[in-house]
Amino acid sequence: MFSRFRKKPEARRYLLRVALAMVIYLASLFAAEILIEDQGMSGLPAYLLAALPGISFAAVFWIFARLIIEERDEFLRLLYVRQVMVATGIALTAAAVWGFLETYLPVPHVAAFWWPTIWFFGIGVGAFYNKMTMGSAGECV
Amino acid sequence: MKNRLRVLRAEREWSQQDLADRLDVSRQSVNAIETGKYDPSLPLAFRIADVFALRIEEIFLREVDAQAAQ
Repeated sequence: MFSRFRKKPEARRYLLRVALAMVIYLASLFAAEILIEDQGMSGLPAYLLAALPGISFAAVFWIFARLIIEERDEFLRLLYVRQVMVATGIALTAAAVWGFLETYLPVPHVAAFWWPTIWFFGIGVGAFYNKMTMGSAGECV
Repeated sequence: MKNRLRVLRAEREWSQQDLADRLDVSRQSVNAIETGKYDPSLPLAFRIADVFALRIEEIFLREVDAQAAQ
């Protein structure tokens, strides 16, 4: 009964990698909050620690690329590529539009880490788009 | 591109999952090919032909042939 819900090895690896990246992200975020914000860490270690949440965040791009490379099913590969294109289109459009709004109008500043966050949101939109147009959202949702 | 996948599968009383297992692809792939949402690559088309012991052109129909058959 549950066999149809069993994930393929590629999808399992993807989910495991995302989970690991998120654990590192949260751990480094908390460490930066405590050591830099609360305890005043400075210098090179502070810069490295402050960069760590962003690097683990960005690991998801590498993880998605690995999924596309490792996926043996050509149709699922197509779905993942379409998903990435939708997400990238949404995130870069949002970044470009808001950048110009900030330049010319008195709108609030948006921290740069929101653009990859919007990319993750776009991955969800891409899965929905695939479901609507191709009949499947793939195996990683 | 039109294809006869659903008919050929039904003749053999295979589910989409049965065919997917024989082709080593996902059930979603079989569904997308059957419904014409996705045209398989040439290597996959050959695998499909092998599974049904038919030639590719006996499974996949060019649009002009499909229109003429209607």
